[in-house]
Amino acid sequence: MSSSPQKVSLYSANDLKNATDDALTPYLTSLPKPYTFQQQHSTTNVRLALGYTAVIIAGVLFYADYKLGWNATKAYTGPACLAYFALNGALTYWIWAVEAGVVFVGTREGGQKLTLKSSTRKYDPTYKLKVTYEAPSGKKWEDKEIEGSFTQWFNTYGYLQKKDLQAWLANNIEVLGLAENEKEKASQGKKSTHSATTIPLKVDDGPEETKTETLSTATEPSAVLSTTSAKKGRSKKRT
Amino acid sequence: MLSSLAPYLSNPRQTLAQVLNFALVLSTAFMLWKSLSVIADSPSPIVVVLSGSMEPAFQRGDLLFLWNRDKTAEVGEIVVYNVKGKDIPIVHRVVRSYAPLGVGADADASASPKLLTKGDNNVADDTELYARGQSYLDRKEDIVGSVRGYVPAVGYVTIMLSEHPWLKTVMLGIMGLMVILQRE
Amino acid sequence: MHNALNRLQATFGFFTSCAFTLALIIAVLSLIPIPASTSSPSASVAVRNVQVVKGRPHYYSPKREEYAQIRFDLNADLSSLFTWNTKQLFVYVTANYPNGKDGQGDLSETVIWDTIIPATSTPYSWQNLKQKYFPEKKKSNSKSRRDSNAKTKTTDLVKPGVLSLKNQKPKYQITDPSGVISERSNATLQVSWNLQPWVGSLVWDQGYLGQRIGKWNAGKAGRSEPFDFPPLKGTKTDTVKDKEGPRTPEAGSASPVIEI
Repeated sequence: MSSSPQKVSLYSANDLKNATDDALTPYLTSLPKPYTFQQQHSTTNVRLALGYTAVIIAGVLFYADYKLGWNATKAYTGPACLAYFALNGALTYWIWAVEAGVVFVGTREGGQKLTLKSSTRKYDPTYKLKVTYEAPSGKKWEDKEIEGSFTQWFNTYGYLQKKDLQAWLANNIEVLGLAENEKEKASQGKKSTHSATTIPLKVDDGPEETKTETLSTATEPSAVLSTTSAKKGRSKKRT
Repeated sequence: MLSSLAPYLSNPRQTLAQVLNFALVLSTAFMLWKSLSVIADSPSPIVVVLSGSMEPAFQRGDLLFLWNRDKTAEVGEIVVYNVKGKDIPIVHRVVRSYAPLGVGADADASASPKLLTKGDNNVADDTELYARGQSYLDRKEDIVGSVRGYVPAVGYVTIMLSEHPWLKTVMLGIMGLMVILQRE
Repeated sequence: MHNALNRLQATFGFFTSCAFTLALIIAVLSLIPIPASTSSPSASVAVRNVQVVKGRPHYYSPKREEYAQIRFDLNADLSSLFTWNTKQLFVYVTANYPNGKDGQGDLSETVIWDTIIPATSTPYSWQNLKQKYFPEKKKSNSKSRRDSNAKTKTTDLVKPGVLSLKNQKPKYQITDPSGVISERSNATLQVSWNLQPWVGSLVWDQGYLGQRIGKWNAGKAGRSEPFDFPPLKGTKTDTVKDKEGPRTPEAGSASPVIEI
């Protein structure tokens, strides 16, 4: 993050939610290698495309009216207005139905997709996160709603504590828990020799085993990267 | 300057989204105005009364809703018209409507009635106000719309904005700031 | 509501929406005839005398045109139009005559007399409250001369909108763009009204809303019997009832047409 930490007003649930949402993306895109998520921008792109098309139509109409006057542009004003409101309606529908509070959509190397939708109620300091983690085949490994209180990761001065937020996420979302373990191991692995040890995994269900294959092949490059992650680990331990 | 822009540039989509919000507010207002124009078929479907020539009916700052889809302007209707060559529209009542000359073979089908207007609070009719050589108004050419609805006093904001143009920039600036900073 | 600015914004926004909704409700309610009005407006107008003279539009104009002065009687009861949303009533008498020869052709309409009847002001209006608690010395109303002609004093709290005029001199003397108004036939006088609300749409007696809301009483829709414009004064004897006999044309007849 290039900007300095922002102070968030503790009395505005909306501000707290926005600050939390903003902190998710940098965390998820900077996880250790096999778990790194690439952010997908397709929904955002559609939303921006719809919005800017409508704005451009309005802008062109404004300019034409400014230059040519009412009589010359009368024939085009009607259709332009209809097009604008149709686009606006589509945009509203898109935001409400399709996006519905999505703050992050990302895919991993194996193709697994993680979707996070956040919501919060007015005057209620509870942060609700709807997590959907699915395999490329469409099978959902996780589809649940987790709740946390903003008090868990905001200090009394209004600053977001990244570690606490990340800890909460890792506790509640399996794949992120695994990523945290990976980080721990990597930082510990820096202390010991660069050996590609098998990483003990939580054995819950089948898919985790398929993941080991990807992991074992990836451990070599991860060993190379462990220096950087160890560096991160060291700085983490310091704070 | 670049360093202050950096947090915005690092996440271009978010910046674009916030700018889009602001632009949508402005463009929605503009398009609503244009839609009203299309529905009423008038370049200016809502006008603000500027003078006191129609008192006690209309005071300065009242908002008038216009309708322009009628082919004729009847006597007694309140119309808004532009004097040829001048910018300011005038809101007055039609007091005379003369049918075009000619009956039968002589009749000129495209001619429209000649209209004379007068403000309720004025002593004389509007002959002095019309362009040189023009004694009567024509429905198609001069009249911008006929008053159908009325809301008192709301338009005073517009009068203040036009008399103190710096207010416009201030208001727009405040609005923009609100939208960008709040992200709601 | 985490800061003062936010609260100010929210309050202002709420106030605006409330005001807007209230205005909308008022506008719609005043158009719906609920409860149904007990009476309809009624009016009758009759011609008393018509004179056509030659005159000039302004004192410096070289054109001389014919001007007609139509005196009339008017009896109207428009009090049913005064609702809680009425700001004022604009009543006007028009002379309508066909444009062509022999009483054919499209109608030309000209207003010969009008008046504004404001609704009685509420005892809680700013003026009245000021008067009550901070009474000032009485100032003479300089415009009252105009109203005294019409004999419709609106301080009559009981019934605004009742008009009774006899042999009323018209406010405006009318002419035709062609300059000739003598000897036109099949003309009528028509009383019309325009109701102006505090909030909402304007209503006229003719046309859609006027027919629905302030429909004239049957048979008393304010139209006079047809009459003809007489020949130019001084050329032949007048042929209208209430003959006044030949008189030497006064210089006053050719004075500027527009007078109060």
